[in-house]
Amino acid sequence: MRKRDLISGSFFFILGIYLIGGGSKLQFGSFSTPKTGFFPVILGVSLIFLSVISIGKALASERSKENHLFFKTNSLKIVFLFSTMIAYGVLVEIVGFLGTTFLWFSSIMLILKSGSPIKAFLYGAFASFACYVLFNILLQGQFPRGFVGI
Amino acid sequence: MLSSGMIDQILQGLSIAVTPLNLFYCFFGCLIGTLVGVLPGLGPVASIALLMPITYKLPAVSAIIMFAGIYYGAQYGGTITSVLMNIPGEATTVVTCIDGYQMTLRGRSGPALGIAAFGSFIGGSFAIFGLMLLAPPLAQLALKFGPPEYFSLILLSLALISYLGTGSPLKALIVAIFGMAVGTVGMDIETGIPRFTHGINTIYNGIDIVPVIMGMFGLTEVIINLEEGVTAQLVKAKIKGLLPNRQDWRDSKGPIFRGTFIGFFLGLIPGGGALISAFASYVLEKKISKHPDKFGHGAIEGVAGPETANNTGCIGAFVPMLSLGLPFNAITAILLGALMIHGVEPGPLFIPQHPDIFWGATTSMYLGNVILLVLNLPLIPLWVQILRIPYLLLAPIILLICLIGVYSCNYNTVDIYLMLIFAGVGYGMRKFGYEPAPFILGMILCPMIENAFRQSLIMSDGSFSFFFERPISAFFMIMAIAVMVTYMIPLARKKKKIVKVNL
Repeated sequence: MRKRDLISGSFFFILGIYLIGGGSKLQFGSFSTPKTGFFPVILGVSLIFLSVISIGKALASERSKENHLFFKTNSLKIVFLFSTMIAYGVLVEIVGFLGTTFLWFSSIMLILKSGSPIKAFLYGAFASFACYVLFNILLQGQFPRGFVGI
Repeated sequence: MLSSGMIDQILQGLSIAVTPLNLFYCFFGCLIGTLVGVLPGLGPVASIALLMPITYKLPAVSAIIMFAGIYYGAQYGGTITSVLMNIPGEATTVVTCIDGYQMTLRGRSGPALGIAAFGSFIGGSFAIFGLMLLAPPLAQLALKFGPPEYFSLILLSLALISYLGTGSPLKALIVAIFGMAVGTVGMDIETGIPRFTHGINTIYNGIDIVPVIMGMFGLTEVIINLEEGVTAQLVKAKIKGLLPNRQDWRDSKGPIFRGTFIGFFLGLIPGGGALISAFASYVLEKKISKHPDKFGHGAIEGVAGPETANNTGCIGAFVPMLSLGLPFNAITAILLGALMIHGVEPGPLFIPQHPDIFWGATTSMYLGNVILLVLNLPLIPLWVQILRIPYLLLAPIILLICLIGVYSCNYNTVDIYLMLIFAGVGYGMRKFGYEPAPFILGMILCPMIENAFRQSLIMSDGSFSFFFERPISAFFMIMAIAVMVTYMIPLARKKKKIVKVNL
């Protein structure tokens, strides 16, 4: 954990500096009349204090062999998942709720399950229809219709 | 013990809890809770976060009834995988694996599951009674609290949460401050000046808690599970004789009794709740047992005590949340968030202002315990079958609910991006050994602690000694300092030791 603690401790140290910097730009006030920037500065100081302890603790600990930090397996699938979710955000207001949900679910099934495209589209159709009924009709959500109109 | 006024309120609560709509949501919550408890990798925190948008159109009392059902239902569900497969469905049922699975290997899975269900029911029923008795007077007492008392109490809560958490106290404290830092984003309530918004209008009113919870718990959980390749082993063991025999009851009555008290009182403490209660109960039972060597080899006491304690601890954790408006663990923090979404301001005035929600929710917990007892014993074979669903089919469904759920909060795509950002933050935190729960607590408690701190300083003209001048505040402050010193001293000693070795 030594390397990880050093990295995370440094991150929180920088975050503490950012909070002090950001808080100071706002009105700090005084201890008797604290203003907008007062609390972020207090948080920043506390974060710097604790992160210094964390870094010190990490430096004092012994070196050990550390395993992979991120994505042991399925790294491509996870990156793809994130990308499709960003795409969902972009498309939902253009294509509409039903169409985007269908496209998203089908593509996810195609990648995760690695099955046939027909099966993936069937899953997509079922999931998007079920969501449409549940969220749009039963729960009366106001989802975008997009150019498809539904 | 029970005044006529309280009996009236219980009856009023019962009349709310037994309406067809609330009964349905109680049943639905228990069902979903058991399901997520059974499925490893999908906990009650993520499930409540996922279902939160569905409750927007429901009355607040129905939403809380359903969420409470998920919370205690998950404790029942987690037991099933712990006993049958040696896989804890929930962190709170880790301890049950030790003797529960050994009982399964000896062909006694039925009594193990049976005593867990009965113990949870008995403990849960007592805890609900305790909640009804304790919460209203505590809320009355809290009405006397001013800003310094609130500030010192929240400080003590954060210290205890960090100290009693599962990981490093230092890291928990850092994460709690990180959560508070995120909580400061948006308009300052007192001056109206925006903070750290960087011109993004959507976060002018602050970062919504729902995308944060869904990202950090729901999405992160899916990523971690996909990365680690969660697979469920098929259960072949036949489950028979769910009702414990006379000897089982004789061995279990003490652990159930003690588990009830341990669970309830540890549930009241910040950072306590179901997890610590279960561990404390197991340790106590082993310590006082005439046959400690039996523990770890299928002792029914090792199942009865912790199972009672974890269920009781869940309900105990509702006391500070409902009476003081302070969440002491991640789940009650989310429940508090759910109340706030429904326009209910938690705090000491919650019970007098919303008696329908308080009494409706507490009485429904009793009904929920009955439902769980009836639901679980006959349905255990069905829950086992559910474990056969491949995770690669479950994951896209969870992700889709996350996407739609978070989007339906404000019908704004920024919430989707926020969820993805916080999924990244949550994933990073897990990889670097930081628990996400204190982050959520810090974020939720931030406005309360900031207001209390600023108001206290204005009241005292900037004097910090003010926190020690008022007796209740001084008590909380001294306790908070004592807790922090307790975990700072071993840290310093350890450092000294290492320096000596290096020399």
